[in-house]
Amino acid sequence: MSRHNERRSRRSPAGTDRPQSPDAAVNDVRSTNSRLLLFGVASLVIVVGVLTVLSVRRPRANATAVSHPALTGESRKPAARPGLSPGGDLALSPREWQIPSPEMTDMQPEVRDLLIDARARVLADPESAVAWANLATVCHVHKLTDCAEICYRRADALAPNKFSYTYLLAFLLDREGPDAEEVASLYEKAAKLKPDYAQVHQRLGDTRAKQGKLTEALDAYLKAVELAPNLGIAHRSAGQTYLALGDVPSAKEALEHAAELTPQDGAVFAALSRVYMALGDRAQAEQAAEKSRSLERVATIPDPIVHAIFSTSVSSPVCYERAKNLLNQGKYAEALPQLKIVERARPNDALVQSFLGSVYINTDQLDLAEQHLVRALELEPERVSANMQLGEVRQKQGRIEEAIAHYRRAQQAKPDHHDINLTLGNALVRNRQFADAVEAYAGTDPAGAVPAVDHVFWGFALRQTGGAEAALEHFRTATQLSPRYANAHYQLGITLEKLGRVKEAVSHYEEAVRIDPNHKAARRLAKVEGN
Amino acid sequence: MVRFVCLLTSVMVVAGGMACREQPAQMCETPVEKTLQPNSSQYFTEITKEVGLDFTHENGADGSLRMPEIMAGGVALFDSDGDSDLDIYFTNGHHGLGTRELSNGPVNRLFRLEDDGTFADATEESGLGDRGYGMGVATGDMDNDGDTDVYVSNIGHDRLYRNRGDGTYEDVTQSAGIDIDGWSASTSFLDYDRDGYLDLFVVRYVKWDPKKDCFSRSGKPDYCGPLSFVPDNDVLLHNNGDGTFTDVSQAAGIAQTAAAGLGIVCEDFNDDGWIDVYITNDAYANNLWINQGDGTFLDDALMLGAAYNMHGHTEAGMGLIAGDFDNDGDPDLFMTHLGQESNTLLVNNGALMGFNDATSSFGLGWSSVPYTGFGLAAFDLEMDGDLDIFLVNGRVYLKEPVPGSWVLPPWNRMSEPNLFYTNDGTGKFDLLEESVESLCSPIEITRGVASGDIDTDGDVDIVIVNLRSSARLYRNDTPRKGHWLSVRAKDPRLNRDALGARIIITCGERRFSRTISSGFSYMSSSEPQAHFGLGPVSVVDSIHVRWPDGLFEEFAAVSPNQVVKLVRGEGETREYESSQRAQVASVTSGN
Repeated sequence: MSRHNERRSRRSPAGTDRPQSPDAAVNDVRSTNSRLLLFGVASLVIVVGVLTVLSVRRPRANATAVSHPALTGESRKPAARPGLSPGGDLALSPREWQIPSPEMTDMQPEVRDLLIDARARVLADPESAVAWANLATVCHVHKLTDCAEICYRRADALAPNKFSYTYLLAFLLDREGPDAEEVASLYEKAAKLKPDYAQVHQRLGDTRAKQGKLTEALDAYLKAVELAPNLGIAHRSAGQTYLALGDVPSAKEALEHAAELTPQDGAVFAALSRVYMALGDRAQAEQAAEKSRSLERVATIPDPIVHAIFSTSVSSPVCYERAKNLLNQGKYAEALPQLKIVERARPNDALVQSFLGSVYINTDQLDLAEQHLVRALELEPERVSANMQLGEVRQKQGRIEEAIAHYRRAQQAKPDHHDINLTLGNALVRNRQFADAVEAYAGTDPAGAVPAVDHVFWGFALRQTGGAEAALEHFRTATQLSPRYANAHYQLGITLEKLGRVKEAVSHYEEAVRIDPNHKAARRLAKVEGN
Repeated sequence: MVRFVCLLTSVMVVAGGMACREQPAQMCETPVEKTLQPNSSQYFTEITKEVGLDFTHENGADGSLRMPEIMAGGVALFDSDGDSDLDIYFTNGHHGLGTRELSNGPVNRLFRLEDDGTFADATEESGLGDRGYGMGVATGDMDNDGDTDVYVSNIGHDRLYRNRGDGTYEDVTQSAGIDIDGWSASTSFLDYDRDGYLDLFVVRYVKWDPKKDCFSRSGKPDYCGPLSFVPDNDVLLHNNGDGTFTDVSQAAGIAQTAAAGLGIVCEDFNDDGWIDVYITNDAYANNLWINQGDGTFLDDALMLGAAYNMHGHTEAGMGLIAGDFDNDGDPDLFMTHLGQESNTLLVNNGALMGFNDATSSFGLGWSSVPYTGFGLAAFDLEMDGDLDIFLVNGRVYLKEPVPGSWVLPPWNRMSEPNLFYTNDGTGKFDLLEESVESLCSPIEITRGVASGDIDTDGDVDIVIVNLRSSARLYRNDTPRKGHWLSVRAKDPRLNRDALGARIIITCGERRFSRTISSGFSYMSSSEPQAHFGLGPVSVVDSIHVRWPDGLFEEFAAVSPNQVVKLVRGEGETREYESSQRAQVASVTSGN
């Protein structure tokens, strides 16, 4: 039995197959934040006034304190920050605590509104851990780190047994450093509060690894594996740690298991590549390296609690990423509000305008699509995606020549682009510019995918320019790709008939009619049979 | 030659600044003066003003938050005029970022070390006042005529300056056939094909779009990161030996990779006698280009554990250095990263065995997490026989203002102190604090670092470049725990320093390995000299040189505490064979 298995088997068999569900308090925070968005500007003037009065009660405690020992004469182990240490400000009663007041100049309005509202809730009830935690998460997800730290600490002081406050404070400090021991002890405290949450052990392992305490890190990862046997990242981390400890066989076992659980995780294969190299198998190492490169993705910890708080972010860069993911999934309506936030922040970004155009095309709002795509091209006339999309809009509007002009502009920017040449070719066929269409099709990638419908367009252009034999191949391919495509059979029949192969033509007319009894192939068939 | 060992030990530090032109007031406040009290316990003494070094980097910021403004600032330490001392060359920005070069305004500047120990501005007479928006600088003798030539990487067109031999330079970019436009970063001379001529490896960053706006997570306008742009591919320029270069990136196999590169070191990492190239990439996997010996390279970073950190994550690779940090005879890698990531030490396990991320176990991890690192230097501070590390910091995003910052708003939101780690020789680094206060406490935005023995007293001095404040020159006054040896390696056939030569010295039971290199750190170039701290030894028993063409040569014993100039052919030579690593071990251990 490898060390990996031995260590795992020493653990209690009681485990869960999946990470635990998020803490209820975080859901509270999330739903609260959604409501807060509606709170709006109306309260801004009043709240700012109140906050201004309150914020001068005590000196501000929210400045970053990179207390460099060379300046302060202190040890590099970070000194307690004003307002942050449990023995300092927290010793005061909650009503005396100062509420962080991040600088809001130039801040995105949506973020500012959330922040103002969250502060107002704390002001209204300074002894509410939920209110402090809410402000903490608003600050956290918008990278107002000092504010987040202060607020998590206060929420934690008010509700010391609340797992999520301790956990999120550790998660925040984990990224900011430099007190690793405090981070580790916070994770350990969190683990005691919610012992079955595998992610806390995973993060504790990461912290221990960053401290160079690899054996302790391994123990934490294995605890995560025990609690969530299907948590691929825990297996990966255990494998990476075994490798660092020089235990190659255990590393191999853990990583190969991780590869089964998370086959899209490039980091697993990168580590496996090193394992195979260490075992002297260069061929397998190269294979794993190639796999890793092709994946480009490093799995992160699937953490419902962290995910829940970050899903409340309204910052434009986050909304932008969110919108891109939604567009990739074809969720256009869901992407729209995200893009609207981004547009307010980046009104002159051609790509954002182009994304908006895409949303409106796909929700059949051509006028709005046109408006945004025209704007995108004003900002960046050569933007390929905007030209292609505006071409599509124009085509749908029946303005085929304008559509062709946009497609051509896109093609000039990317002359060898397969899809652009196909789309341009099709549009030229529609405009009966068959020779130009044939030229455009010639720019496609011979190895590129051509849908059946495009083969029909292509074949049509060839037939119209005297290339019936070549056209035949395209129509035949179309029927093979899509045997129930009546028009492909019809066009194949026409071409065969034109080449004098009437019998074969008849069979394809018949097939077209079988598929679609109302197809015009029926008239052609009647005419041929009448002759 | 009068040296400046005797220069003042009390130092007045001035964080100066360029005059403000057409910039919003907030972005170009007049910098404040800062003073550190003289302190004889300090290991470094700042002598910038005393030696007349007057350079303030201009990044041309006008409030538009253009990314190159916060990435620039290289420095070179080299002998520009053949008088055997180290001069200082700074790259500089200007107010025309995004609009190519300006006919007037700030330029790169050269300061020559004079006989009286002061520096004189020789920019104009040298012809090195490049007007591009400067990023980095590389130095090397590209035409084997015995003097040092200069390559300047820019936003826009890079430039190659040939030294005429009299301390003046001519721009030979065009006649050399070099046409590199866009955003070049660190650059290094190397002889990758062992034909005796120094080739150039130009690290390329991203295809920057000045129209791109970026925002912080709180939705405030901020500087863009590398992922906002399309990454560029690096360029390898082959020296044809006739004053011209050919872009062989495609044929060499490096053009296929585009990855926002910033840092470079050239070293024989797998000990096969051919120089390899390691590149730090910003937010992309790093590259370890293993030289195949036939003019091509293969990126083996992933398989050799050098592409990512221990957790398999890409990091924001900035500055970079190679050195034998664990004293096992092979070159390890240390690189600086963005805040929230630690810097990373990759320990070389030996030929074909790859690298291990040993950052945390060597004590280099957590302490660097709050800081964004850039340039660096590795040398033996106390002369106790191991490599210590100095690195500089400065953010690339606007965060909360840093208390005690030496720069005014808004730049105080990006300034950070610097760090010095000492190696205890057992694989453990500790942050040095009070004794390096003068070096590390100025809280500025520092980028380039170059190192060399400017005052020829046997230790390594430092020059750093700060964005929008004065460059600083530090004299090393560290109390010594042992002896030292500096080695220069010259190949008389090539008439120049043997960049890439590996020097292995044996002192009793101990042996030390260093490589002659000038291209490391961040956008910078340092003295091409192998510096050894030796500890309490009385004699250096032997010196072995593995020349860049593979020849292995042994030189006789020498006394410590001197600069030794080794000339190829004057030692006992033999071929360096394929079992190099075992051979090096056996030779250097005397078996």
